[in-house]
Amino acid sequence: MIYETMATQRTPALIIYLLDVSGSMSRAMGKKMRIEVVTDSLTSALRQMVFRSTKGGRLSPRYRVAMLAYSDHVYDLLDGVKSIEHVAKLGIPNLSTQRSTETAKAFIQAEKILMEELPNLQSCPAPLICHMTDGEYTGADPAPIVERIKQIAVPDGPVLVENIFISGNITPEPIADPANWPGIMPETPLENEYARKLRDLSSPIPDSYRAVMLEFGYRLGANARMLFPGTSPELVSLGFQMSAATPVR
Amino acid sequence: MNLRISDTLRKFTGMLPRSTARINQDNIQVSQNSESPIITLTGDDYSFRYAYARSSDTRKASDTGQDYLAIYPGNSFIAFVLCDGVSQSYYGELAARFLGDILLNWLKFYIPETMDVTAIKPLLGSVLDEAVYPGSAMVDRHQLPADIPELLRSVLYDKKRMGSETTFVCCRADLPNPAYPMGRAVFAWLGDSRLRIWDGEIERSSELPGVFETMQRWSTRRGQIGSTVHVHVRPLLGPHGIRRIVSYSDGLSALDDNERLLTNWDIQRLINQTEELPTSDDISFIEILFEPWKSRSEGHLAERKDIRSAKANKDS
Repeated sequence: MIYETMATQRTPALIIYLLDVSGSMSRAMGKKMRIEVVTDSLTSALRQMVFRSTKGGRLSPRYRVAMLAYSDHVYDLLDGVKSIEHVAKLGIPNLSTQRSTETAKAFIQAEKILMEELPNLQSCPAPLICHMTDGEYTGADPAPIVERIKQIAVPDGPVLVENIFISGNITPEPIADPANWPGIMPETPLENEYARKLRDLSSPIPDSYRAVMLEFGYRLGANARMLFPGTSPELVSLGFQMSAATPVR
Repeated sequence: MNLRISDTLRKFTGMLPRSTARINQDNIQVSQNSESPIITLTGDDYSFRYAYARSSDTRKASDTGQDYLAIYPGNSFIAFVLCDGVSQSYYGELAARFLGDILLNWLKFYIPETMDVTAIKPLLGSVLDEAVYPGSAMVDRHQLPADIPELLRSVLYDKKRMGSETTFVCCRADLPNPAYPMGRAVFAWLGDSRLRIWDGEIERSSELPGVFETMQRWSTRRGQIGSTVHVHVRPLLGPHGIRRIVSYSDGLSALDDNERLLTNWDIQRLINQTEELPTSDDISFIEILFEPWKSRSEGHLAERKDIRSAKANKDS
C-alpha cells in the first residue's frame, strides 16, 4: 500500500517548505501579520516533528527539511536539506516580506532538490512539498512544474503536494470548527479561482496521513485534498500540522 | 522450582544468564540496557524461554530499551510481565519498568485466590489507578539531560507534562494444586503487545476476550487509557486448558503469522533479521510450556551450539 512507509532514522521523510514572502504577507491576520502567523505555525510543525522524532531523550532524525522562501527570488533558508536534529538547533529562520510572487521559481527549485535527493529516497516515505501562499502567482504559471513534480515517485508513492492558501473567503461558509472540518473535497464549492487551481494541484490526503491527523485531533474526511484555506491562524496551523503527518515508527 | 542451566548450555552459548538477566532470589528482570539472546530454562513442571533486544537505533546510541520483561519462576506458579513503553510519551521505558515491577509484585503476592474474573478485574483496575500518583511523582523527579538543544528541551517538557506511557501483558499461571485442581492461568493486558495461547497444537488465542489495540495503554498521568484492563482466567488442564503461552512486543510482529513451536535458532534468527530493518523496534519475547522438555533437550542443545557458533562467526 502506498504512503505507508514509516519515517525512521535510516529512512527519513523529506519535507520541502515553499513559503511565499511577497509584500502582501505583511497584511494583518487577526492581531498579527500573515507572515507572523506562518512563522508561528511553522514553529509548531517543527515542534511536532521533534515530538514525533524523540525516543526517550534522544532526537532520532526521522525528518529532513528544506525551507525555501520566495518572492522575486528564491531564498534557501537552511542552505540545503537538513535533518530535523539540525533544524531543531537552528530554529525557524526569520521571515521578512519582499515584493512579488514568483511561485514557479520556487517549485523549480523544489524540483531540483527532489531530483538530487531521489536516489537516496528509494526506501523512504514519499517526499512532501508544503507550499504556502497568500495570492496568485506573478510570472510563469507554476502548474506545469507542479504536475511534473507529482509524477516523481518513490516506491512509497508519488511526491505529495500540499497547498496552504492564505486568503479571505475561499469556502462559501466560514470554517468554524477546524477540528471537525472534513476538508476540501474535489466537489467542494470554492469562491476563489486561484483556490480552485491550487486544489487541482494538491494531492489527495493519504489514509495514513489522515490517521495521524486524527491523533493530532483533526477529523479530515476520505478523499479530502491537501489544500488548506488559511483563513484563520487555526487553519494555517492545521495545514502545517499536515506537513508533519508522515507515519513514524 | 529447581531451574537448571546445563553446563553444556554455558559452554556452547558462552552466555551465562547472569550476564544478561539478573537472577536474584526470585525475579528475573531482563536488562533494558543490553541484548539478551534467547535463553531457555527447563524445570520439572514447566519450561520457559525469553529474549530481549533493543531496536537498532537504540543499540547504536547505547540507549535504554523501552520494552521491559520480568519473570518470576516459582515452584507453584510462574508469573511474568511484558511492557512496551510508548516512544511518543515521556521516556516510555520509565513507565514500562515502573508498571512492570508493580504488576509482577501484585501477581506474586496480592492477586486474589479465585477463578472469578469479576473478582480479579476491579482489584487490578484499582492497582493501575493507584499507581498513577507514584508514577507521576517518578516522572516529576526525572531529570532531563543538561546538554540538549532548547527546542528539544521544550518538547520533552511538553511530554513530561503528558506523562510516561506503556502497554503491558501480564500473566500468572498456577500449577494444579488443592486450591486449583485444574491449575489456573490469569492474563491481563492493555495495548498491542501479543498474547497467544495453545492447547497442544491448537491455538486458542481467539478465545481471549477484549482487543489488543495500540491506543490502549497505561499512563503515569491518566492511568488506564482507551479501555479498562482486559482480564481473562482459565484452567491449565481440561477441555479449556492451555499448554503453551507466548507473549511478545509488537517489535516482533513478524512472528504473528507463525503458529508452530519454533526452535531457539528460528526465533533468534527472526529477532536478528528484524533488528536489521530500518523500522526495527525493541523486542521482548517470552514463551512458557507446561510440559517437560527432557525429550527435546539434545535437539535444543544442538540449536544453542549453532547459535553460539553463528555468534562467534559474526563477531569475528
